[in-house]
Amino acid sequence: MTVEQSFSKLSTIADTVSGAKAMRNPQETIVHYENLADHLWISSEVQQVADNLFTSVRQGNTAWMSLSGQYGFGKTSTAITLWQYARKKNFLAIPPLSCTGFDELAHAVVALAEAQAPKAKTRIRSLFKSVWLEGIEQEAKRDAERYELQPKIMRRLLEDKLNEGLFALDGSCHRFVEFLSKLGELATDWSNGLIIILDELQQLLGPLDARAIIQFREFVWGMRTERTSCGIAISLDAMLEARLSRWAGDILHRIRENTPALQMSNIYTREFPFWLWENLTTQNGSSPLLNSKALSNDVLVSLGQFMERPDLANGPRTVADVFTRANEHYALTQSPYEIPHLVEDIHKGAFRYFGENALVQTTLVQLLKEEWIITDEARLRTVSTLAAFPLGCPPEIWQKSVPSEKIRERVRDELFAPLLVELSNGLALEQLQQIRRSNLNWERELARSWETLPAFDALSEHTPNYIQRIFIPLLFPQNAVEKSKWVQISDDVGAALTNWHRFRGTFDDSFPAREIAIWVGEKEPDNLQRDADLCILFICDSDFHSLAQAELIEQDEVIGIRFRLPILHSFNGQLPVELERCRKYIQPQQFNLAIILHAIHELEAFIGGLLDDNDLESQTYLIQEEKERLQARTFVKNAMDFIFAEVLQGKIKVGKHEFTQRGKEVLHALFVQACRMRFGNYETLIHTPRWRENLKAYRNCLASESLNIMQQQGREEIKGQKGELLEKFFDQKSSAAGDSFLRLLGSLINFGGSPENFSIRLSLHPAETALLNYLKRTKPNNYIPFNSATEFLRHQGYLETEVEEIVALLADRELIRIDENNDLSVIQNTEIIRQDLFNRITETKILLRDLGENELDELLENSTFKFLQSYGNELEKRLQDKLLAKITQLRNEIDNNNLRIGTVSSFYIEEIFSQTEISQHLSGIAEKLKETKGSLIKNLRKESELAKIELKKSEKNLVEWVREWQKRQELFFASTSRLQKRVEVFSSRANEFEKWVALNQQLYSTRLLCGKLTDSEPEYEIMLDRLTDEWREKFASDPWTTVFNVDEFSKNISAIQSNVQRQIFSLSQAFSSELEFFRNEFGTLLIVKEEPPAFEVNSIEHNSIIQTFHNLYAWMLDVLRKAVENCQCRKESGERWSAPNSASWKELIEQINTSLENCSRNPDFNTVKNCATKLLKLVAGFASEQGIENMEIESTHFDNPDQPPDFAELEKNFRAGLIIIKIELRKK
Amino acid sequence: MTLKNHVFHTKHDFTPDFAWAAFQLIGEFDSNGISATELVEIAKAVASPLAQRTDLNKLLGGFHELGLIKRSGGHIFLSASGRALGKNLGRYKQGFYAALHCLYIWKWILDGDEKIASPSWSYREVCRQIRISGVIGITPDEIVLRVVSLATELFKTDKVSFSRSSITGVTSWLEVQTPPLIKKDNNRIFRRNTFVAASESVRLHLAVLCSLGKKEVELNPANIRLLAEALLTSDEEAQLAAINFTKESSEFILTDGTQRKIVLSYSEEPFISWIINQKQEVAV
Repeated sequence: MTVEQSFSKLSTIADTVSGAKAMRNPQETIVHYENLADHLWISSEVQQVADNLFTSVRQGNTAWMSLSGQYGFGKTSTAITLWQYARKKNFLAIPPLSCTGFDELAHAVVALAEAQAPKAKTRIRSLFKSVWLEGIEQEAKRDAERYELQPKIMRRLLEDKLNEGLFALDGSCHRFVEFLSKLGELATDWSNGLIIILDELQQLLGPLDARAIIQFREFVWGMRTERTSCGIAISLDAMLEARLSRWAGDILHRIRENTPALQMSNIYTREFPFWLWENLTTQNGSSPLLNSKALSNDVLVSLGQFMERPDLANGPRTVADVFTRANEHYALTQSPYEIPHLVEDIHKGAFRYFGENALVQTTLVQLLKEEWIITDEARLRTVSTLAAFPLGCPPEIWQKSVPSEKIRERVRDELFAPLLVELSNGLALEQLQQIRRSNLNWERELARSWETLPAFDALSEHTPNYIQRIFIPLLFPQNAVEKSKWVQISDDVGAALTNWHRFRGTFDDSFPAREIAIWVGEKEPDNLQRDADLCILFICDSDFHSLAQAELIEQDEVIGIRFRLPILHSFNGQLPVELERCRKYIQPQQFNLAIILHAIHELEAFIGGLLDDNDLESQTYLIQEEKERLQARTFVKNAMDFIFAEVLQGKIKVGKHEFTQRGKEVLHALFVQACRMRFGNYETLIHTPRWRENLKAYRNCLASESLNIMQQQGREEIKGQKGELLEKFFDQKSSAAGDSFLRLLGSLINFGGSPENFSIRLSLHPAETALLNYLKRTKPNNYIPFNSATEFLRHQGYLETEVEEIVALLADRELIRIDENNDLSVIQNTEIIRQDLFNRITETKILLRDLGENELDELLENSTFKFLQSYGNELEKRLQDKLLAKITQLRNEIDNNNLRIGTVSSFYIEEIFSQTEISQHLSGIAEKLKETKGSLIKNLRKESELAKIELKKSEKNLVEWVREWQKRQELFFASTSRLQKRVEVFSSRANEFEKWVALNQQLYSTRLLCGKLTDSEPEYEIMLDRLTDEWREKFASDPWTTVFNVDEFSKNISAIQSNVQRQIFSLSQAFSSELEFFRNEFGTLLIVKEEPPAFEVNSIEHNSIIQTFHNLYAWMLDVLRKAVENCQCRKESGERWSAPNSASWKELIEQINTSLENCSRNPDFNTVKNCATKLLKLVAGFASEQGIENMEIESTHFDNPDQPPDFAELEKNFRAGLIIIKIELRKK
Repeated sequence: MTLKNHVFHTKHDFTPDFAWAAFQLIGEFDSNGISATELVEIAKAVASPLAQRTDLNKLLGGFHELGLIKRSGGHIFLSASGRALGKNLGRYKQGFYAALHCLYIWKWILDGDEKIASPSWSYREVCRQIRISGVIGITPDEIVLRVVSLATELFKTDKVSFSRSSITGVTSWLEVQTPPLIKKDNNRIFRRNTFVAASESVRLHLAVLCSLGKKEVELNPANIRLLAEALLTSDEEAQLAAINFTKESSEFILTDGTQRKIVLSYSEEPFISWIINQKQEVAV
C-alpha cells in the first residue's frame, strides 16, 4: 500500500527501468529504485505475504506470489516496496523491470545481481555464460559456414550481440529457468536466496499469441520443477489477468496453487488516504514530508469513498494526485485544502487520475449548468458537497456546507428522488450510483469477450472448436424444426480421438439417410473416410488474405466437400446493423470469422439457448432478462446468417450454367452434387414417409393371381380400363388418388394410355436390375448371403431397408429365390425349379404322414413359385421339427434311465441285524431286495445302451432312422415303462424296509430291559413275547405286506418299551434315595474308602435290577462290619467308652454282630438300617466320654469376625455329635 | 409499379423459404436472365426448396408484386430494387427477410396510389389488426372479416378476394423476422409480449419514413404509428426503438428542437439508397 512522492510533488507513477538500461547502468538503476523506495511504505498485508514467500525461499524452495489490480492501483509501487523489503531481509532481489523478452530480462538480472553482490561478480558472470552461451557455439559454427567467416569471429560477433540484448538464441525459456535456478542456489552463499519481481508482464509477454503463451507456460512450469532458493513475485493488471485466465488458465492456476493472489482493491480500502497522510505528515526521525495542516479531514473521508469506487477514481493514484494538489494549495494559500476546493478542482478537470470516464466531473458539469441549481446557493452547495461523497455524505460535513437545518430540510425535499438518494452514510447524488441491472447483460458479455481476445494465432487455434460447436449444429440441425433432420451417430469420445464426426441425414430427399463424416481442423486430414457416404471438410484457414472456397474433392474414389474458411480474413464490406453497432468494441480491429465466433461462443456459454429456436416466451424469465435473451439471439442469428453467407461460398456448375452459391445453400448444392457423383445410379424408393406401405400394395399387385409371369416380371403390360385396373390391382377407387399412387411408385411402374385403354407395366426398379445382374454373375443354383446383396446395393447408395424391399420385390417377381437362411439365388429356369419344388414338397409330405402328420394341404397346379417355395420351406421345417422331436424323446429317455439307475443305486440294503425274534425274516427280505437291486441296475443300463445305439444310427441318416425307429420304438418304450414300474416297486419296498432295520434294534433293546425286570416285573417280558410271536408269524406268511405294516409294529414295540423304561426309572430313583439315606444317617460310620455300587441297567452283566439293590446292601453291611472292628480296636486301645443306655459293651457288640449275621443272609433296606442304628449307639459311647473329657468350655459364642472359630474342628465335633450349633443374627 | 386493379390477396405460396431460394438463384443469373423452366432445373440440381414446386408462377408473382423482378422475353431479371437488395442486405437470409417485410408493409404507401389496393395494403392492415389485438390475440377469421370490411369501405368495391390463406401469406413473413414479430397459439395470432427491436428492421423502416419526407422524418404521432405498425408494437416502444437506434447509428441523426426529427445523413446500404432514390425520383 504505497504511493511515491517527492518533497514538493507526489509522484503518481513509479517509473520502471527498462531491462536494457538496467543492463547498461545497473548501479544507477539500483539508486533509482532506492530513491523511490525511500518514500514508499509497505503495507502489513503485503508484508505478511512476502514473509511467507521469504520463508519458503529460505527453505530452498521455488516460491510464487502474485499481485493483481486495475490500472492505477499501485502495483509497481508495491513491487518496489517488496524489492526493498526483500533486500532488508538479506535476499538478492531484482527490482521490477520493463523488458520485451526473457533474453533482455536475463541480461538485466545478471547486471543487477552483479551490482548488488560485487564480490560474487565473477561467479555470476561465469554462471550466466555457462548457461546462456552454451548454444552459441553451434550457432556460430552454422553461421560461419553460411557466410564463409571464421567461426571465432562469428562467435565473438554473436556474443557481443547477445550481451547487448540484440540477439536471442531461441524462443524458449529453458535457459532462463536454468539460469534463475542456478543463480538462486549461488545467491545462498552470501544471502537468503534470490527474489525476482516481474512487473509489466504484458510488455514481457508481448501480444498474447501462441508463442508468448507457450513461452510463459515453459517459464512457470520450468520454475515449478526446479528446487532452488528462488522467489518470483508477479504483478498482473486486471486485463492481462482476464486474458491469461481465458486463454491460459493453467498458468495462473500453477502460479496461485500454493500462494494467495494479493488483490490491490482489497488492500486499498477507505482507510488508505488516512494511513498515507499520516505517513507523509509524521515521518519519524526526520521532518515530515508534508504539512499536516495542508489537508482537511473531510477530504480524507471523501478520498476514502473514492478508493472504494474504482469506477469513479483511480485508487491510490487519485489519492496521490489530490495530495499533490493539496500541497500546492497550501503552499500558495497557507490554508487547508477543503471539500469545496476538491469539488472545484474535479469540476475544472484539474486531476489527471480521476476515473476512466471522469463520471464525477461529467456529473458536476451537467448539474452545475442547471439554472435551477446554481441560482440557489443552498442547492449549489449541497450538490457540490455531495459530489465528493459518492457513498453518502456524512451529515456533519453537509452541515458545514449548509449550516441551517431548516434550509437543509428544504433542499433535501427539493432535490430528493430525482437527484438525491439516501445511503447508510448519508445523502448522495443519484447519478454517481452504480445502477443495479439484470445480471444478464449480453452486450457487456460481448464486450468482455472481445476485450480479452488473444493474439490471432492463439485465437485461430481455438476456432476449429468454435466451428465444431457453433457451425456444425446449425448446418446439420438435429431438431425437428428444420426439414432436414440429422442425427449424430458418432460418440464424442470417438470423435475426439479421430477428429471425425459422423452424422446421418440428408439435404435432399432423393438421397435419404446419408452417412457423412465431418472433419474440422486447421489442416486437411491425411485420408478421407472410406466407409462414409460422403466426407465434408471444414478447413480453418488462418491466412489473412485467403478467401472462402467450397468445392467437391475426390481422393481414392472417396467423394468429399471441402470448405476453406478464411477465419482471419476481415469482413470489409457492409455488415449487418447488429454487427456494425458492435464495431465500437473491437475498433480498430476489423470483424472476421474467428472474432465473431469467439463472441458467439462466449455468449452461448454465458446465456445459453442462443443457437436454437425455442420460444423464449414459453420459458419463465423476467421481462428484462427475456429482452436481453431476445437481443442476444437476434445478434447471434443475424451474425451467423451473415457469416454463413460470407465464409461458405462456392461455384456450382449445373449444365452450361455456373454460378455462386452462399451459406447453407452452397452446402446443400454440393451435397447433392457429391451424392450424384458417388451414387450415380441410385434412385431412392423412399419417396414418402409411408413408402413401405406403398410398396406393400405394389407387391400385393405382383402376387395377384390374374398376372402371368411375364407381367409379374415387367416384361408385358397389363391392359384394361384405367379405373378397373387401379381398383383391381391397387385397391384405388378414386382415379385421382390412383394417379398420385402411380406417380409415387416412380420407376417401378410405367403407365399410359386413355382411361378406356390404359396400360400398366410393373417395371423393374434400377436396383432390382442391378441386384439381379449381380446374382446372375454367380454360378447357377449358388446362393449368396443376404448381407452380400446389402453390401452390393449399399455401394450403389441403397439403405438396408431399401435392400429388404428390393429383394422382396425380386422374389415376388419369381426372379430370385430365398432359402431358409435368407440366402439368395437367381432363378435361371422357372419351370424346372417349379417341378423341383413340387417333388420336394411331395417327398416331405410322405415323410410327414409317416410321422403321423395327416393334416396337409393339397397343392394347386397353378400355385405361384413364391407360394411353392414358402410352402416347401414350411413343410421342411415341420418335418425337421418332427425328426428332432424323436431324437429329443430318445435323449430324454436316456436321461430318465440314468436317473432311475441313480435312484436304485442310492438304496443301501442292510444285511446284519441284532439277534431278535424277527431278525431272521429281515435277513431274508434284505437278500431278496439286494437281488432285485442288482437286476434292475443291469436292465436299466442295458436300455440306456440300446437308446445310445439308436442315437448313433440317427446320426447317419436321420430320415431313414426315423422310418426304422417308428417300427421299433413301441417295443423300446414298453420295456422302459416296465422297468420304470419295477423301479417304483423296488423303491417303495426298500424305503419301508429301511424302517425295519431301526425297529429291529428297538426290539432288541426292549428285550434287554425286560430281562432286567424279569425278577421284579415279569409281565413286560410276557407282553413282548406275545408281540414277537405275532409278527414272526406274519413275516412267515406274507413278508412284503408285513414289511409295509411297519408303522403298526413300531407303535406296539414303542408302547412296551416306554413302560419298561418308566419302571426302570422309578427303580433307579429308589436306589438313589436309599444310598442317600445311608450316607446322611450313618455318615460317621462310613470310614471305608470303597465307593458304593452304581445303578446299572445297560450292562449286560447285570441281568437283574434286584441284584443291584443287593449289591448296595452288601456294601453297607461291609461298611458296618468295618466300623464294628474299628470300635473294638478303640476299646482295646483303652479309649474310654460309656454306655449310652445302660447296656454293656459286650451286650451291644453281641447284638450288633447277630444283626449283621442275620442281615447277611437276606439283606434288605430295613434290616441294614436297624443294624446301622445299633452300631451308631455303640460309637456314641466313645463320643460322650470324649466330649466330657475334652470339652472345657460349656458354651461359647464367636462374634468377632477377625477371630473365627476353627471350622474344621467344629465340623468334626458336630459330625461326631459332640456339639450343637446355634445360629443367631448379629444385632445391629 | 402501380397496379391498375385492386389486389387484396397476399400470396401464401410466396413463402420466405421459397422466396429466399428463388431470389438467390435469380440474382446469380441477373445478367442474362433466367427462364422459369431453367430455374426449376437448377433448383433440382442444387437441392433448392424450389425443386418441390412444379409451377413457380405464383412465387414469381409475389416478387413481381413487390417490384423485385421484371420479365423480358420469357426471362426473369432482378429489377433495380432487386439488384439493390442483392448487393448487400439480400446476401444473407435475415437481411432478405427484413427487407421483404419492409417492402411488403410500406409499398402501398411508397406507391402513393391510395385509391388502388395492393397486397401491401392488405399486409399492413393484417399487421395493424394483430398489433391492436393486444394480449388476447386474434384469429385469422376475425382478421379476414375486418380486412374485408375495411377494404369494402375504403376502396368501394364489392369483391374483395381475401381469405385465411392470405393471412398465411402475411404471417409467414412476420414469423421469420428476428426476433419473430408474432406467435401463434391455438389458432390465434399474438404480437409478442416482449418487444425487442431488430436493428436492421428499424433501420429500414426509418429509411422508408425518411424517404417519404426529404430524407427526414418528424417523430410525430402519425409517423410513430406507422413505424409501430411495421414493428408490431406500441407507439411508445416504437418511438424508443427509433430514438435508441438513431443514437447509435452513423447513418441517422436525431435532432432536438420543438419537434424531434430523424434525418438520414448518408447510407452505404444499396437497398436504402434505392428506397430514398426511387422516392426522390417519383417526387421529381
